[in-house]
Amino acid sequence: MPLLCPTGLSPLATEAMKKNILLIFRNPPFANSSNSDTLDIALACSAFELPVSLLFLSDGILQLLNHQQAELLAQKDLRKRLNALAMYDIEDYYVIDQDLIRYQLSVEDLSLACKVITQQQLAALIRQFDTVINL
Amino acid sequence: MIFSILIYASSNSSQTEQSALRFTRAVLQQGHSIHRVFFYGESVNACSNLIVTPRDETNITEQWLTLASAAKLDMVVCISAAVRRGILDGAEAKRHNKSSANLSEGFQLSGLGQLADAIIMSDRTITFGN
Amino acid sequence: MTQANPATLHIISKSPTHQQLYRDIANALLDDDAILFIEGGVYACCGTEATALLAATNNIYALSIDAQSRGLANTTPAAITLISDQQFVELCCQYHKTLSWF
Repeated sequence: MPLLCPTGLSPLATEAMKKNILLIFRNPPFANSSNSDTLDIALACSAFELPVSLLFLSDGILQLLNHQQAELLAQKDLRKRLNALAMYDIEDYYVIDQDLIRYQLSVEDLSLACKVITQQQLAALIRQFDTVINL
Repeated sequence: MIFSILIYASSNSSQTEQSALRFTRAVLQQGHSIHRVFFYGESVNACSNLIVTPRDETNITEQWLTLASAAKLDMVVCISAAVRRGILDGAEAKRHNKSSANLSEGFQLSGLGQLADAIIMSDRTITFGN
Repeated sequence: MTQANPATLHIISKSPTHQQLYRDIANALLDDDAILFIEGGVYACCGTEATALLAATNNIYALSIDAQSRGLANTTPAAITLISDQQFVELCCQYHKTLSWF
């Protein structure tokens, strides 16, 4: 099995580690496991010192709503883990203004301090990344 | 170029696995290399050796294993995704006190660090999902 | 192998009835990006629902095997280039990254 740990990588690989990654959350809470699976990828990438940014797109912003009570459905509340992201140096979060408008939300309704970008800025944001994962 | 493949299909009867397999073959045929194939989410179900495929259908697991042994592919199955879906290797079966293991020989259970490593070490990481 | 191209190859595997997905993709596209329809995504080759995408970039491809298997090979508009698995790999090399939409 290849290396598990980034230490001891070749200089070429160290160079490669300057890659950054964007992870896209596109599903509402409780729909399937994709938001949780995406979050796990974020933490793993961060542990390997890949700079990680998160985009909450379309229904993905609903994952961030305050006042959720996941325990009523015997589900895990992903926000506890989302709120711990800063400890993993993951602090770059984006939402789209149109998605906020669609659900009549403001950033105060969201559990993470997200940067709001316009629809027109989305493509330019995506351009900045070397890898995008969109489960 | 160095490729890695992330498979996130919702079932192993879906076309997604087939697309990923054909793509992986095409990558190798053109002289590129595959650093890793990483099975995540529901895709881990394809790695069970208890799957019985109807005779008139294709057994995708066997196709992966054939390709893997010919091309020495590193096929990693996300351990947490696998265990929660009842895909266990010998060590996990023992750890969780289960009566048997069912991970097909040729796949390895490991953590998401293997996906992060694949992203770092590969020029391209291609996701196949549905 | 040139890596100068910073653009993205968008790989779409859902049909255009997934309207919000297609709206998101339209917003995520820059004009030098490329689109590749695979699996159920190839249904975008018929009908008009993918028009917004077709207007956003000239680089549009569909995986031939997926179009053929669905009976669409002969109805694919000229603006969409049918490609093989080999050409799919080549496209991945040509573009800086891929973004899968499903």
